[in-house]
Amino acid sequence: MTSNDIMKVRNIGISAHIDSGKTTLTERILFLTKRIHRIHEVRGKDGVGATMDSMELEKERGITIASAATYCTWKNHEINIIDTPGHVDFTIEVERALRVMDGSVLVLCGVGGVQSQSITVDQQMKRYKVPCIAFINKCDRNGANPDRVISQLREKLGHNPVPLQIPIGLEAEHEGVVDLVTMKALYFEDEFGQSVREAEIPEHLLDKARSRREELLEAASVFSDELTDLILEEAEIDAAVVRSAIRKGLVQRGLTPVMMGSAYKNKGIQALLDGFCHYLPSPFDHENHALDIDNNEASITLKPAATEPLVALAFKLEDTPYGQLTYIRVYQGQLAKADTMVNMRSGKKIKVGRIVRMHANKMEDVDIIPAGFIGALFGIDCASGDTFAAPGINVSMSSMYVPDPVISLSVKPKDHKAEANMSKALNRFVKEDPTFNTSFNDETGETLISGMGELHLEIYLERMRREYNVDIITGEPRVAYRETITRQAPFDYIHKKQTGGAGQFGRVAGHMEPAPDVDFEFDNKVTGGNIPTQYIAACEKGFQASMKKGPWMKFPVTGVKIVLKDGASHSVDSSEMAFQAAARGAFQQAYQKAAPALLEPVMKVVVETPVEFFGSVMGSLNQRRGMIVGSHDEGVTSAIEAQVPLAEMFGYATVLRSLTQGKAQFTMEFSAYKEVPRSIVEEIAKKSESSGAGAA
Amino acid sequence: MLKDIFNIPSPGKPEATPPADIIKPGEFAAILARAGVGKTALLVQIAINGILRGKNVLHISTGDPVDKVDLWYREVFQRLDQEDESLQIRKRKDELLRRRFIMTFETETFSIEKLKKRVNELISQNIFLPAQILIDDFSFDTVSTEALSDLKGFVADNKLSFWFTIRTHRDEPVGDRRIPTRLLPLTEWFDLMIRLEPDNERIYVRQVGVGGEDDDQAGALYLDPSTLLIKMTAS
Repeated sequence: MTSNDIMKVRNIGISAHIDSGKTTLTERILFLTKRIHRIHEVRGKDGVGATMDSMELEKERGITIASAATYCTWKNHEINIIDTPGHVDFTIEVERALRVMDGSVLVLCGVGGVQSQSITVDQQMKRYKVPCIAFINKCDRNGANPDRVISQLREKLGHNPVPLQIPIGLEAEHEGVVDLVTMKALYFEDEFGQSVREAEIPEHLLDKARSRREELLEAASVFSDELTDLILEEAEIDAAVVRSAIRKGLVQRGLTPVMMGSAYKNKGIQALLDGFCHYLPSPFDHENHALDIDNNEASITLKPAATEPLVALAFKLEDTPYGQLTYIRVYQGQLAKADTMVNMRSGKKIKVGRIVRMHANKMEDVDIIPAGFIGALFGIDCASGDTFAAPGINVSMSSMYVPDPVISLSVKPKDHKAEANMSKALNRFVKEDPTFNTSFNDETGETLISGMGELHLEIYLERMRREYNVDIITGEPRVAYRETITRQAPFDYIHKKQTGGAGQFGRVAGHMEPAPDVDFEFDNKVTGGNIPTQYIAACEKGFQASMKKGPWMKFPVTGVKIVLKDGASHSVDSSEMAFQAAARGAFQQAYQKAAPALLEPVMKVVVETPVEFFGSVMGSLNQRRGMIVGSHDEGVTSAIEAQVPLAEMFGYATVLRSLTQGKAQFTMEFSAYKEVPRSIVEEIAKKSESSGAGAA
Repeated sequence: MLKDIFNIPSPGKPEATPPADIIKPGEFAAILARAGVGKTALLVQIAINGILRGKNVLHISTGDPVDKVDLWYREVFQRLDQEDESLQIRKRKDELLRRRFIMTFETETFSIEKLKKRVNELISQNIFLPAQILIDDFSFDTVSTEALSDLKGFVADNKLSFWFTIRTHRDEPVGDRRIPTRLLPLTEWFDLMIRLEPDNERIYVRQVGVGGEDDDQAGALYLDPSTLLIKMTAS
């Protein structure tokens, strides 16, 4: 593939708030680009479900869980699309999609506007410097107001939104859009809007279109001297000049082009596809970096050229009937069948076998994945996030941000037969999803699964039932509590053992103090060799080991600084083991005096509710030890933001549904660890005693 | 002490302004300034002054999202913490933030009627009982006398004090006490009016219409240009 072709590649993500219509939009795109020949709606009457929602569970619940990758072609451009889930619990899927994308489409609901999850997704895009086009969907719905959404893009997300279109009619009268670049009206006709009819701008919209075009030109001219000159000369401005300026602005994340329509009513999709080609960056435009391991992890820029040595990233794993399927993006060089490449994490050489192009759950065999493209490999043993490179180079793509799990659940197979299947399923899920963990509690003999929220774990349990035929008995959801200390406390501990065998001797003295900004810090202030240098590391190890299970309530300890000031050793009996034991003893000795406190995960909860339920929703959050930060009134709806302990949020979805007749929805994401009030600590202590404690 | 500096003295009648409360329940106060001078910074400090004295404060904004208003508070808290450790802000942050409620509205759909309805819901359902309401960037251009009178009654009934910030413009005509003429008919509603005036690299906090308004004599209040915290000139 030549560099010219790479210029016509678009790797894009489609992200948005729940129910903004991402999957519906993707379905339309696939239909119009002739990848599919029939449109199936999300929760459609035909019972087929949208093409991108290939998992049974996704079709049933009408939400996208795992992102599916697909590609299509439009006007000589190859578009690789990753459809991403909207629910916060599946945020890692969104992060992964953005990591391998050069550009993105932020789908916003024309009625709901910039909602809480749009804010989270936008922050993720900022983290990976992914430029985006905003698409205001659902312009056919009652209450649709694209102008309001545009001002929210500015105020809530800090974008520089530049509308490239204005709607022709809104709500039930939504017919099409006016393209402000070409100054033409676009109507989408036939059953599925396949035919685009270009016409003159309707008389009543002419003034608005002219003034909006002025604004568009002014915003775009910041990125193009040529356009500025043409404006100053009052010369005729060619559409190509305007598009080039918009593209420059977009690639620099200096402006966000705003397009609009209604995916469900098939309006504005072809224009959006044109927008992908005109404005979104190609792999050439978006700079990607890797770390040069031989050169102290210095950042190097990757060149998307076939002649360069291969650098590729495995960003998603999937277990299929034919074995593990690894989604991969090639950043540099090319990946060809029978080539040899190295997994940079394990150092293992791998021969490339079958290569496929994915289209949701269908696939096509190909021989090569060129630089800038996304594909999938069979028979490769690797973990999500692994870098593959040509033999002889030593680079790694920077690792992805992975949030810590905040909730856990004990799981037990119903019968002995199911045990093997459960372990097989858990192994697969852990490999696929870095935010999903499993652990085994030796004391209680329970297997614990941990993840990002109730729904996250619920989906995996359901998948175990359906895909692995495992009946599971689950315990109560458990919160990942942490212990910490709140004041300084001294220690002076001697570990001495002289009965039978070799003696053990070690003395450590110093203090522990709160260190709220770190997990653990160790400061060695021992002078005069009172503890020989070779045993200092053992002391640190001993203290650190004690952090795993707090002496108070058996939860992991965080935020402790140990200052080691003095000690003593014995020429014969001292050993690393003795000093490790002394450190553990010292930790126990000082810990109770350091006023331990219990910390719990507190979530940022945003409830979007019709205003008539404002009071009841507030009340429900207040009852849950929530601290209400504020509310934003958006006319008919109100978004209430609160900080609520995770422990109080179990089952909230059901409560909210019954409070608001199912008209409100909420999102929740981890915010911070905060101290648990004393009265609640006692309850938790009782519970953890009866269940064999912590280890969440 | 910073805590004392928050209590804006009234040079004409110092004893009439109790040190703890700038305005009393049922009263209106306004901060007048041009855009970008520091109205929100001053408003947030007035709110925090109330919060630190155990009062519940409802902050209303038309236009800014909740996160942005919240950020103002976090920043001012952080700066106060750096300046005066005795306030123990870091330790008390959660407790202090529970005394604050942010309510934001879309500019185009905001009305006094709607505001009253929301506040009533908070009070009647015992969700949040404010003692002080602050409303940032309030446009009086479209508000009728009846609506203001109604609001004043509401404020008095619920024993609330009410702060407004009002944006002025550089070139607009001014009248008595250098108050913009468009705002003159409103002055009778306010029990206190404060003006923020940039002058010689400082932004002075001055009470409108009180003698010595233009003096920058010792004891005058100003916003520190680097932190936007209220300071007093050395006496």
